[in-house]
Amino acid sequence: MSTFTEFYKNYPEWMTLQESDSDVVLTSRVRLARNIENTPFPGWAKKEVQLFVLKQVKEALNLYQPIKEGQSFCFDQLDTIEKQVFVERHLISREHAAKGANAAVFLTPNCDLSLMVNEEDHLRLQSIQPGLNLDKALDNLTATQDHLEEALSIAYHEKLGYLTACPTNLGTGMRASAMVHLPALGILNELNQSLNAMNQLGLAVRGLYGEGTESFADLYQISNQSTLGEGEQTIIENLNRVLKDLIKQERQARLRLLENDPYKLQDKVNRAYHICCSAYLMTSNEALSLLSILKMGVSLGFFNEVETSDIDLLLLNLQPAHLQIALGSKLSVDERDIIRATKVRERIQRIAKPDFSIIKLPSLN
Amino acid sequence: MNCDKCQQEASVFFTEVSGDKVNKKSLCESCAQEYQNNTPNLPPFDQLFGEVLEELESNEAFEYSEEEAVVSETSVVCPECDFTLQDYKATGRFGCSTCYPTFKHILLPKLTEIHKGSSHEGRVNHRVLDRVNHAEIIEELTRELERAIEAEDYERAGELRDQIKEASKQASEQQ
Ligand SMILES: [Zn+2]
Ligand SMILES: [Zn+2]
Repeated sequence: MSTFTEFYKNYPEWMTLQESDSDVVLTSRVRLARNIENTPFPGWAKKEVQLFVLKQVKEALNLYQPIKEGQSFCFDQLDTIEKQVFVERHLISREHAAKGANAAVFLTPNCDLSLMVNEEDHLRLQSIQPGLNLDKALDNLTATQDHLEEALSIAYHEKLGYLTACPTNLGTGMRASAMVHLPALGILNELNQSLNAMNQLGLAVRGLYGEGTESFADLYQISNQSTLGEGEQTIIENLNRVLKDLIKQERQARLRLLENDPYKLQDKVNRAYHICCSAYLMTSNEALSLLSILKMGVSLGFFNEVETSDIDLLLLNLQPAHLQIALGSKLSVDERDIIRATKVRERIQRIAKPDFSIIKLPSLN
Repeated sequence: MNCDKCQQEASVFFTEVSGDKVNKKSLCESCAQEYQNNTPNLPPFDQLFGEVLEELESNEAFEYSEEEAVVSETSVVCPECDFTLQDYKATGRFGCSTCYPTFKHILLPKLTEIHKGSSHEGRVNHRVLDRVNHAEIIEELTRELERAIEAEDYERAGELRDQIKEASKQASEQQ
């Protein structure tokens, strides 16, 4: 077992990497649900059965180099806040964090692969890649799947595919998703239209600490809903097509803002920057929406020597559990607002003020 | 901003789009956990099994197919894990992998409501692949054996018989 302190110090590698479409797509994630044959699913299993599953998985992974070299945590060694840090880093699900001592997570050294044990299913394998890289995320899981299928009796039915606790995951057991940043579509009030179109195509849309249009972080997770009747490649191809179109829509929206409403754009970015540099109190929602604007400013080239992933890392460090761990004590709501403002101020003050020289402002006469 | 359910500070925000409706929720950590645990991934239980269970509960006998007798399905229990459909209603999840063949006749007609199809098109489990490979190997060896016998190459035929025996043994070990 590994120590939490060691884990906390190092960010997952994919959080710090920049890809060509990182201006819109933060990360791509593929998650596979797997279970052991003839063994009650975690939600229906007695404690002893859950423990036996954990033991079997542990033994299977002991022989698997990429995981052996990484870190692993049983939930009996983590408190609620520490588990929450894994959730905020997207390495385990919120549902998994709610599980008791018989749950565990196994990670590769760079955290591109995580394996949740005794979540809703016995096993949830997850791979995360920066940018739009769903194919790579799926490929990344192949060797692990091969190994697990050799070492364990994975529940599988020739017609129904991989058998999962919830019938919504049946078949491939695969949920492929991308986290997208859509501030300009939000500002232009075109967000609901774009997101509804996703829904029409059978994709699920979920806001991530983002509420609707202009407020909060403008981050959305887009994923497939159907897991049966289509192969993994087909599901990912469909998602890729839709996401590439969404990237185009958001980029065009940013350009339209730049061309049609440069004063509004400049005003928003400049205000966001100066509030971040001077605030002494900042609520979570305010931080999310200001940093969302700054992030768009970074991708439009207004800030030199900063990358969008720098803003993402700051966002991560403002999350409740990260704030609490960093300060080492439980914080009141007011204290959080002070600490949050301090963290934002200290980080953003190190960035030079926005340079809008690429914008040609129209004459107002 | 306060949690929609209690008065603690909200830290988790959901935006769910279904059809034309955009649903926004602001929840605190503990209410969010509860919300997610009680919200199966989509669609909810009602859509999937609601009607079926209602009919079953009103104690109407149900005829599923010609081979299957008329039974009161609400009393069917999974032989592996003692799971019943009533339990599904409470949890929104099945009990174990054997529940699928157990409740297949109720589940199968509903699958296309939540999925693009009703049969698996994706990756094939390695064990099944191995089984298929063994079957193919045995078939191939048998054809070769027939040819060897026809050619009266009895030494070769003996070798092939041993190989077939070995392959069958491996195949049955994997069952
Ligand atoms: Zn609450
Ligand atoms: Zn069962």
